Amino acid sequence: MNDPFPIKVAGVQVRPYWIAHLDDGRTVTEEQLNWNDVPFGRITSLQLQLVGGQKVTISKRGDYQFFQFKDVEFGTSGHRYLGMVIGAVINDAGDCFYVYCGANGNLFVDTDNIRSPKKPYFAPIKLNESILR
Amino acid sequence: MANPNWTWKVNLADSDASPSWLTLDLANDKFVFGYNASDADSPTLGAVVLPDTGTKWAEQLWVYDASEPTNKYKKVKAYKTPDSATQRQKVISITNDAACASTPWFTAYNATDRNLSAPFTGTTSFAYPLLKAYHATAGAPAQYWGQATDTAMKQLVVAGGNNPNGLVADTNYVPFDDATAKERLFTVSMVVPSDLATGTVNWRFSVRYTYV
Repeated sequence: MNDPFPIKVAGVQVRPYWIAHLDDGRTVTEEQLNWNDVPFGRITSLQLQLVGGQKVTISKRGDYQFFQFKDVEFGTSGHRYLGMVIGAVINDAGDCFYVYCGANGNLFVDTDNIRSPKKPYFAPIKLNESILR
Repeated sequence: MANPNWTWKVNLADSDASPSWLTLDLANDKFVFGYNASDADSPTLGAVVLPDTGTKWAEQLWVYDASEPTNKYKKVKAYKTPDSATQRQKVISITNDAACASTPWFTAYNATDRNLSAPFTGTTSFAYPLLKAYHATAGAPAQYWGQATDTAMKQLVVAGGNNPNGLVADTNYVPFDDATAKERLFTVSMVVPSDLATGTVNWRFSVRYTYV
């Protein structure tokens, strides 16, 4: 698949990307690995590497299940990257918290529930095991 | 999962049963609501006709096909009139070739700044979306769809989306049925209030989605 949103252009980072630290000591990043190939339940912390060099880190507690996705709009002027999300589902009810980094670099932290989300870009992931890690 | 490719098409045939799909070049093609007095295919396109009072539906939908050397306007002939003699509904096909991370939605934005404030200017009584849509699987809304009265138009707006009706950027939109990869059909119409400003209003039909 031709991803229209590269992580780097000519070596310069142009959008955030995820970094996952695993329980065997390995660190894998979006540059190296497809998210679906990250082993389930093995993430000890998930980071968002921001364009400015800072990192946002979510460390695992209990039965956290991590997720990440890109928020995109596609219409009559092509793809438009809106932002990137990392977060964690914290219980079986689907409650989660997440960090959203917009295309303009603005960050915010919010809570939601992936089974009955407030925010439309979550609607509805429904505890989809294919993206939870 | 991967970032899906999207294909948009519009039916140019006379019927929905035997469609002749035009695949849109989204970088160049445009939908144009307008009319032609002879109601025949023609590159001569007129503006939508404002009603003397109240509201009505736009007469015709055209596609501006930038790849054509001449006759760039193609009339979308397939439309339905199930509820109202004056309503024109057009069917748009949207296909994604990979699953999304969450359920996408279909909406429309102001072409320049991703909000819909601009289309409302030039009207005095107009406080509802110009563009209406519903998902083919979900079916037309149980109430008001196809009715061109002021009351019906205004009551089509449901805050927060999730009810097929007016398209207002991130506020009101038509959700897909799920996040899988497949073709979906959306029926769209344009409302024309009597006090709509003359000139050109630019929207951008859009799908908002997520991928991993």
